[in-house]
Amino acid sequence: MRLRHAAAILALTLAGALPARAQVSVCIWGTITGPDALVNGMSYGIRDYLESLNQTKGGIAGQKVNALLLDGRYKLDEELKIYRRCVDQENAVFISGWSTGSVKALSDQITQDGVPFITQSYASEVLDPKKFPYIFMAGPTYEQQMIIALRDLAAKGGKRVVIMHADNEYGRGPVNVIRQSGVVNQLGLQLVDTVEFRYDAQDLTAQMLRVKSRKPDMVYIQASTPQAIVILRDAAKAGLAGKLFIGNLYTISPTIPEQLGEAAEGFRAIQAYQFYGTDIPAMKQIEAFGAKAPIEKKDMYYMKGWMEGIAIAAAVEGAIKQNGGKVPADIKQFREAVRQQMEAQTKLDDGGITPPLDFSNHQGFVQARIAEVNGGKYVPVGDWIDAR
Amino acid sequence: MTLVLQLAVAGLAIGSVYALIAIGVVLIYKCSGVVNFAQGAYAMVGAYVSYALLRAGLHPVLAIIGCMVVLGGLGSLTERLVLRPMLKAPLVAVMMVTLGLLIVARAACLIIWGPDQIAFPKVFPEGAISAAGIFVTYNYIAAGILALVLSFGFLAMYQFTRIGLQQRCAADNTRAALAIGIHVSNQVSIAWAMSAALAGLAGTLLATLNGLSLDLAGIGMIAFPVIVVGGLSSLFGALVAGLLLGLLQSFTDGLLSPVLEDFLREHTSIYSVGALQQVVPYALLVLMLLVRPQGLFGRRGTERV
Repeated sequence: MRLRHAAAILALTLAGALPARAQVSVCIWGTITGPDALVNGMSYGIRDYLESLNQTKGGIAGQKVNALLLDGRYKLDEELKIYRRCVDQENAVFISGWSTGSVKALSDQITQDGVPFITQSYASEVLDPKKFPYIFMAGPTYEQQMIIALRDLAAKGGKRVVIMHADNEYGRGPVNVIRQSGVVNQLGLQLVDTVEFRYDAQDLTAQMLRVKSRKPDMVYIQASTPQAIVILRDAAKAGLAGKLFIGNLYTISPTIPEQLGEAAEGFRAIQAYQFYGTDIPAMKQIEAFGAKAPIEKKDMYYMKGWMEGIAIAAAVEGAIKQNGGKVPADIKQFREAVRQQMEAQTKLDDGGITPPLDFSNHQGFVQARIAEVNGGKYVPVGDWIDAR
Repeated sequence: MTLVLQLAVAGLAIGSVYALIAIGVVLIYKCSGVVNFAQGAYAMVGAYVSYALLRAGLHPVLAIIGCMVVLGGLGSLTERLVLRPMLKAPLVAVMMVTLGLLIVARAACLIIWGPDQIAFPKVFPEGAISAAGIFVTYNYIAAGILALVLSFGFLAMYQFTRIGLQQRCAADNTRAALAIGIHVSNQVSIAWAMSAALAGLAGTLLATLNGLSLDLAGIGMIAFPVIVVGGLSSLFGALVAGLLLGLLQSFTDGLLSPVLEDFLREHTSIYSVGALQQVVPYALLVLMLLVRPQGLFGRRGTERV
């Protein structure tokens, strides 16, 4: 494990030093070392799917793919630098970007550069095919996820809601949208408090005592796995049960029950992708790839990344075929063709990770359900819901 | 009232850990005039060392002792190999070196243990005390008490033992200490060893409360407002200021922020005061420098020459 970390860091360093050689270059930036590294499975998932194509099919439409994995470290300045490098130096035909802050900051620039971009942020503010024709998303927005949880509470007769969110765009943006939309009141619920906390907070005990004093029926977490671990751990210190809490789809990592044990029991989260290990065709592909190369993260986020890799590859393949089996010489033309091919995908089969993907409206799919930690594992507690 | 008491308990527990870190910083400052920015790194490395020892199957008591021994050695080595050769270098350069040590330690831990948060093995018994509406987990009580006992124990050692006397002597007047036969360089080395060992212990206690990650190194930054508030050269001041800061942070998060936010939400379009807690230590630092620059327990005109 240690050697693998060292090798990963060395590989990332070397990747920065070597020029891209393949004609098809895909840039993936994630948090490899940073505050939300626990949910970076999708970065590895995209890379591994593209690598698997290199291994089994000689790449996409016969062209080797350079899948470049970069570390944004969840630092805005670093992410902006990486973006420029991907566009200008790597000539990436598709980019997978990370934080909500960076995607929002880059949204106009992405349109200007005309580069297809899949966002790992689910902020509704960047999902607008007319305004941002190059940005794609693969799953329900943060706001849609929150509404699923609120509806669930309303259906169960609950009333009082507390929202806990991180002190960045990822935390604030969706919470403001929900708060200002009035959806909480429309559902007959009462937003009794919103609690903001540092994204890298190590101790939230006092905040949990504050939450306790509000006597909520549900606490929604708009943050990721590392913060959910702190929240649930400190909730236990304050005598709050895990079942009171529900988090977005970035809080569904097996690390939560592994690290917290009893304190995680009853915790719920939004599930939008099949779990790693589920008996679906995509899993067989992943296992075949895993037999030849190590799989860095065996979790739902890896499945998400694998699915995104399928979508990216299908769009790139379509663009190459459209050009008579050759990679368009002009990168701008190539990117535009890939964008059009991405939009043309309306029933893309991703091997069962999600329902058939439809990117005509740039969102891929909107299905989700609630899963609950039970006996140390996430167990679905409801049917798939159309999050619209 | 229950909320206030619970916040007080939480604040004291975390404050006692701040105190342990700050005592280490003051100890080095007293002896060598260096503000050690690497104190957070010692805390982080200490927690990872304890983690490794616990994972190797050592009893928690032995693991903590082992951690303190390893960190003590590391502190001493730092002084011998890095700081001593810089004896005649400007203090600012020495302090920058300690900042470099922090970065190097963080990178080393990243390579060895990876970037992810790690669940710290159970050191204290699981469970909680619930009385009169106050709910406190055993690990909070144990970590808080242990940190406090060790802080007071260390202060007693510094005040009443031979080695403590030598430390104080070397810190107060280097030339006089040399004149009466105290090996001042060794005393500085011992101070670094004790400081690192205390930080290692504090890091371990913090990891039992908050889990283990590279972010633990950030605790060192909290120590600086603590030592300024307590008085740069006062070990007792560091203890009191650590507890004070823990309490202030806890009350800010649990009482002040909600009251302020409720008011602002009622009367303005401002919805959140953000993570106000992180502002408190530095606001207190500025206030103290304006009102009482020598700190709560420092002496006016404290200066190393």
